[in-house]
Amino acid sequence: MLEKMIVLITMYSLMLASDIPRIKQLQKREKLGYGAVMLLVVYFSVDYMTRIDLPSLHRIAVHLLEGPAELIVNYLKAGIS
Amino acid sequence: MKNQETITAGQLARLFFTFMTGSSIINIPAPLISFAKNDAWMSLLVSAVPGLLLLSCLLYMNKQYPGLTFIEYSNKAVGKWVTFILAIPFCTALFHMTASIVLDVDLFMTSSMMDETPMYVFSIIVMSAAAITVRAGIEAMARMFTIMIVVTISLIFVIFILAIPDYRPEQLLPLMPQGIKPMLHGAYFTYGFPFGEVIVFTMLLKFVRKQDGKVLNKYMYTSLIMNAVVLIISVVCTIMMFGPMAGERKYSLYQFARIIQVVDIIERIESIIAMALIAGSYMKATITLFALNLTITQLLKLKDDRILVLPISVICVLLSLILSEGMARFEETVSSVHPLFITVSYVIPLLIVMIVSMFRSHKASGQGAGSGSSAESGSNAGSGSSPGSSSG
Repeated sequence: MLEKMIVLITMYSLMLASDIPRIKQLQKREKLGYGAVMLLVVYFSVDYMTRIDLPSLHRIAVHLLEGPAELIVNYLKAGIS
Repeated sequence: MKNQETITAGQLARLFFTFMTGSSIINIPAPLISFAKNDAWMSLLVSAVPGLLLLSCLLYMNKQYPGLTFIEYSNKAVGKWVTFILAIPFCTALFHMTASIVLDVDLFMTSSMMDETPMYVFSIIVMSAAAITVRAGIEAMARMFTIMIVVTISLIFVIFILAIPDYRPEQLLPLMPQGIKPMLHGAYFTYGFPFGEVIVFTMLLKFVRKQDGKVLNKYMYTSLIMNAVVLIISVVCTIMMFGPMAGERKYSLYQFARIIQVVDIIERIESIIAMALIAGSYMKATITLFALNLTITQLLKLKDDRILVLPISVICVLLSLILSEGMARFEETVSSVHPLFITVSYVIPLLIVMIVSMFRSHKASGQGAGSGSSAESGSNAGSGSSPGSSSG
């Protein structure tokens, strides 16, 4: 947990150290866009720290496509020794 | 006002070749041979066909809407809300692709060379380099990657040549001993990676300078065909070296380089393959990150097209680390689900926009010659101004 926290703090520090001077000069729309993406950063940070497998679009897509993918692969593997 | 960055058609074709070949030349042989055995090279031939078809769709849309990205012409063709809906799986796939490329480097380094080093070290290093390169712009990327890919591919081919005494061509036979299905299984896999991923270049075609429009198609097709040829050579050499058991060895090209020995002077040159993998993955991650940043910037209609690079890079690092914690599941799904995921995320959105665009163009031309086709009027408006279309 401590190690992960250090990793996150390092990444956040590098990112914000580079971006804060630019963010100050941004217009409102850009700031809102940056804020929206930062929300995603925080979301995945929580998932990384806590390992609670928060839902993500990719997980949903995999869950939906697993069935058809399995059918295709099983058909292609059928009869092969 | 910022000038639009432009590159030549040749530079874009080299970026395309880099993207398609960079990491796949190392990663494709082992899993492909595990699926298709001796028929692996035929799988590449079969899966190159949908790749060429998808490329032709890209180039058709680029001709219909010159100077526009997928998001921009999608806005014109289907409107902003449908574009937003189509962009959700598109962005999801781009995020996942970037994270997977980084994860691939992590896994290689920790399994082959530096097994005590935590994965986040490699993730952060690769994504930092990619982010800095994206911020430098596509012109810098095109120039740098031309040199890197030439060096990388040349070194790999030197390794193939040095291994000639160890090849056993008889291992290429028999062909299709278990029928066509193993070959089709391999083709299903390589359709997903790398040929289905050509769609990413819908976001990059706009950077080609106008005067190169006529040669762009030729260069792009040549690039894709060269990619297929290089991959086929890689697979054929691997089969001739290890036989069908190459599929059991992870990173078979790395193992390939390990056993090369020439006059006791040249030996243990697997570090060249390691460098090639890292360089190839870095280049592919950079291009994907560039496309992703541009996609999100245009969706949000932001004027500053560099401000989101670092947060997006951090998300990709986090995703790669999250994926690494579910490795068994990741490996299970990546080869079976990935082709379908690519189809749903990349191919279907492009086809929807293309079909609507063709329908509108046909309808407009059917209604009379006065205003011209809707695609033409769309492209004329697009080349004028577009708020979110500052250079990437």
